Amino acid sequence: MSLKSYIARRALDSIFLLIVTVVFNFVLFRIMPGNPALAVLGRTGQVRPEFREALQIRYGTNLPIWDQFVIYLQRLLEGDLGFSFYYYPTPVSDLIFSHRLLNTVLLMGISILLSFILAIIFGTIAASKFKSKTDLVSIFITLTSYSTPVFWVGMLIIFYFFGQFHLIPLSGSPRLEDPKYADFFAWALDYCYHLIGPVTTLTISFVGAWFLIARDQMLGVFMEDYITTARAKGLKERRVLFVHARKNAMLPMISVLALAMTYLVSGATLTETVFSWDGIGLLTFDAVTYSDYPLLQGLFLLVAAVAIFSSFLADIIYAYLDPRIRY
Amino acid sequence: MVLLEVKNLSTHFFLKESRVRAVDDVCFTVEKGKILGVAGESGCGKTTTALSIMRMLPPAGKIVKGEIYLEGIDLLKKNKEEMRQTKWKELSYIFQYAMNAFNPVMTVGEQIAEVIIEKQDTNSKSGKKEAWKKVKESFEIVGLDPDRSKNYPHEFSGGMRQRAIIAMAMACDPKLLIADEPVTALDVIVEKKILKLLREIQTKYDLGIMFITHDLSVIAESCDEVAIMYAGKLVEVGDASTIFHKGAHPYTRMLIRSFPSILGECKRIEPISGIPPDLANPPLGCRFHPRCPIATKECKEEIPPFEQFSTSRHQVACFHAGESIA
Repeated sequence: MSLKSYIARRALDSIFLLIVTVVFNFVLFRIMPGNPALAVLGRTGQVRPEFREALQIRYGTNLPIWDQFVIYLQRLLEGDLGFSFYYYPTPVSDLIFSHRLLNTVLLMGISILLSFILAIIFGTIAASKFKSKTDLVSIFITLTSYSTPVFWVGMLIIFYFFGQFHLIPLSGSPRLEDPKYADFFAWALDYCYHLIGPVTTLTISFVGAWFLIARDQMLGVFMEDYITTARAKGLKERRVLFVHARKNAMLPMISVLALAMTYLVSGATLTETVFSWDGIGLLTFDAVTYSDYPLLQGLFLLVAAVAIFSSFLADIIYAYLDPRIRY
Repeated sequence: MVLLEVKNLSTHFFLKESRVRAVDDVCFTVEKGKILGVAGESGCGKTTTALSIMRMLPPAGKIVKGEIYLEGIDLLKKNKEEMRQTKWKELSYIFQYAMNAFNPVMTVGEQIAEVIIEKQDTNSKSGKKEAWKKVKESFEIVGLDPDRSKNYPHEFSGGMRQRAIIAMAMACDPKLLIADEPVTALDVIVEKKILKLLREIQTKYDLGIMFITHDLSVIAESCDEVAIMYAGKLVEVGDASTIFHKGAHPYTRMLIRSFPSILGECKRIEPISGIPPDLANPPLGCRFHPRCPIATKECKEEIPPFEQFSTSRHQVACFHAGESIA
């Protein structure tokens, strides 16, 4: 099969999956307990019937489920995700697509990229020095970092780097609108300064598992005959490692990266909480706490869409990396 | 003219509790423009000998003794970097596995071009072009369509891959080619074609080839000289015709007898009884004595010297060389 038809098929699969997700996402929130009245007016249950009815009408939950679905689809196509219960009258889309998404994408994107690059470089080196001191020490370090709870790492970082050494700020995520910033660069600088803590925390938590996967893949590839051939050809060891071996060991790492892409928009609730980073992770936490169904629904849809898109992208990268993949 | 001279080579594997004497005191030469066939049962040290020459032994393997001269220069005295530069430029290697010798995610041409570029003195852009030109030429030499050089290994058949491997081995005009079981994975028709191709290239480029195989018929067909190995030791070396018609070592004779002949009368083939010895604890004296029908007390106690026999190029390691076996 040619590359073009392979991509076309994958694209169709993804669209189908997206439609299923939209339906599922709709149904999920209709069968969950609770209603707008409870969410907005609290859980006392002491709600006057007129209020309840007014709220039901406002959120359309009095309509038959089919009508609700049709309205949901129509609004969705217009980019309207409805209104939040808790932050009423702010639309859900304004809540998500704001500084919060930017904060999370920047935080997660930098952390993921950094962890990924570190994992690959150190995984390759450790594998090439199999069973040496370097290898054993790096396994010990990464296993430790991997099994340490992320919030505790965050707290340690705050304790030492803020409390003891005064190297990083305590917490928070600077906003461009803040009048204390003279221009964009002043903001950007302070923003990066605030990023250090959470990025370090997340990198420590991501890099362990990825390092082990990268190292394992490399070790497997080293056993392959074509590596022996490459060495027999008298190529430079660097070329053998980073061209011949790396490309083959890359495929599982692409899967790892594709799976991590959902974090890019879902954020890391624990880390964002520890560092008071105003991102999607915190927003999700709030939405769950206040049973803010429309907001949760919007967040779920966003994460699912990104997951579908990133696995589609991963499939294409697979085909690019390995010419044998055309199924 | 002597191209490769291996002198008293001993390669041992150091395992946790034992030391396996995979290659013990082996001496042989490969002449320029000649093919030396190395034959023997599996596990007798053929590949270990070849890997020792390439200095590509697995971590447990160590060359404990010996010298390996390629055109008068001792390869064992070279450091890692010098050896890396020598590889492929002066000696190249065809591996046992035709199917997996190429990296699946790079085109065949790319993998040949990269080694040409690596071995070039210049690192300019014209060097890259030159390399690709050479790739196409080498494809033509081995009878492949030059346009196929942009294909991936999985798009080649087994025979085509073996041809491409030969093209790769010849890419930097080496002086010595070590071919380790180059046709074992192929069917007899492709095998015949590949052997013919190797022979053609060898005559054309005056190449010295060390041809490793367990298949005596392949050796009979293509080699000028034959070296027979048994349990890490060389037992007999000589011209192909001498070995096949006047083989003096009992092992050589029994090995030849154990292969069916398609010419002449129909004889029952005679297998050599017993199994090769454990190389961690090789038998005292001649290593073949437990399986040898004419072994005497002497054979059990002393190691037979590797000595000249009938002609100057015929050497045998046996106290009873030439004696008839029942």
